[in-house]
Amino acid sequence: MELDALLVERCLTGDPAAWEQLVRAQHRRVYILCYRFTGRAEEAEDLAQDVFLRVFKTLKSFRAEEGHLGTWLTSLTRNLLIDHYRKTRKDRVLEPLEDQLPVLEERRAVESLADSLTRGREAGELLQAALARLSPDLREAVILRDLQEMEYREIATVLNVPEGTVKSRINRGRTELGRLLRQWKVAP
Amino acid sequence: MEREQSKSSGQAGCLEVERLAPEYAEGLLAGEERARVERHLAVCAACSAAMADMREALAVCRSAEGVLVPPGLVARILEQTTGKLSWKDRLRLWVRPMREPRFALGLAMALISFSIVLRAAGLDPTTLTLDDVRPSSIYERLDRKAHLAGSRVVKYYRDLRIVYEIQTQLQAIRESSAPGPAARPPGQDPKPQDQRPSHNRWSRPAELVAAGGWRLRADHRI
Repeated sequence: MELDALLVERCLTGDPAAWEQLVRAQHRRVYILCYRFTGRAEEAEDLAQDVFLRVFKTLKSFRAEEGHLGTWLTSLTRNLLIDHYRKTRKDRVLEPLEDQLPVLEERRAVESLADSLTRGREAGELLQAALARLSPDLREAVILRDLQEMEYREIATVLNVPEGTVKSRINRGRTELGRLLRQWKVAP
Repeated sequence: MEREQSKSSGQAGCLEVERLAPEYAEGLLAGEERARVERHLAVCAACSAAMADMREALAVCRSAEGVLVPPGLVARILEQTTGKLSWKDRLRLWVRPMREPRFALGLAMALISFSIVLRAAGLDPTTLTLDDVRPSSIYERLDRKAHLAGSRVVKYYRDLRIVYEIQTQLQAIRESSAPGPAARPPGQDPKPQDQRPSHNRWSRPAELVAAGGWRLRADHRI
């Protein structure tokens, strides 16, 4: 935590090397969260850039004593994602499940040839498709816990809800996700 | 009621299982809590099914391939925020668009177009030299091509004139050798086809020339 505070302090003094260090250390976490939430690489890239632009402008509001820099960044990213979700909700149209299934069936047919890499990629794509069908509340909870591997306490801070609510959302999110994947009969 | 029954039987109730389920599914629960959850799952079909779904979801999350971060992302963030970039990041920003399929497609189209232009200019791309692509050389070649095409048109036009000349001469000979109106029986008019332009193989080019508005004199020198 002290390292975070030092780094932020250096950034605030206008040290470009410190800012670059911060970006290099955190860009992956931010991009993956954006990608998992939106399911689109280009959209995630734009959002990740927006997040860092916001971080650049509001870095002085970071309080090291209130938590890790990563948690603060995740919280900021999450807020931006929710804003983005609300703005683009009307434009977003999910592909019907029936349209996706033939592709999935086709992929399963060649699975005998697939190695673990292919299965991993396929699992990633299916997971992405299933995540897109969860409500934003459940989706973000599952992403933060099962894909970003954050502590329940940290997730509660990011989402600004009690830990019990986090667990309940993760429960429901996982159940819904598992039900979808089971329905597609693709779980490994 | 459920709680009382659960306590008496030493197993957790549905609500308690729901509270403990995330950690239980991750294998983080131990001791008595774990045993209580397991005893409940053994008798509660709904909770057991939900736990199976949760495990399914966790298994997929764990087996899913990691997300690849775009290589130029850091460079773009730095450019957008500080505007300062290392030479490596600058190079990455330049190279990045070239790695996209649409760039390759555009490049291929440009090469094909360039090749077509070179062919039209009379150049062979395989034996192309620096002199060949000098603007003055290209102009000379195009000028030569234009003159060649022009001279072909002029030659074609002159050929048509020769044909017309011959046709005119033949017509004149035919008319001079035919019997005059006095030799015909009285009341017999010349046949209509005599007045129509003849359709022998010589007449067609002449008609074409006439239709094009060309008027040639018999004594016109070719």
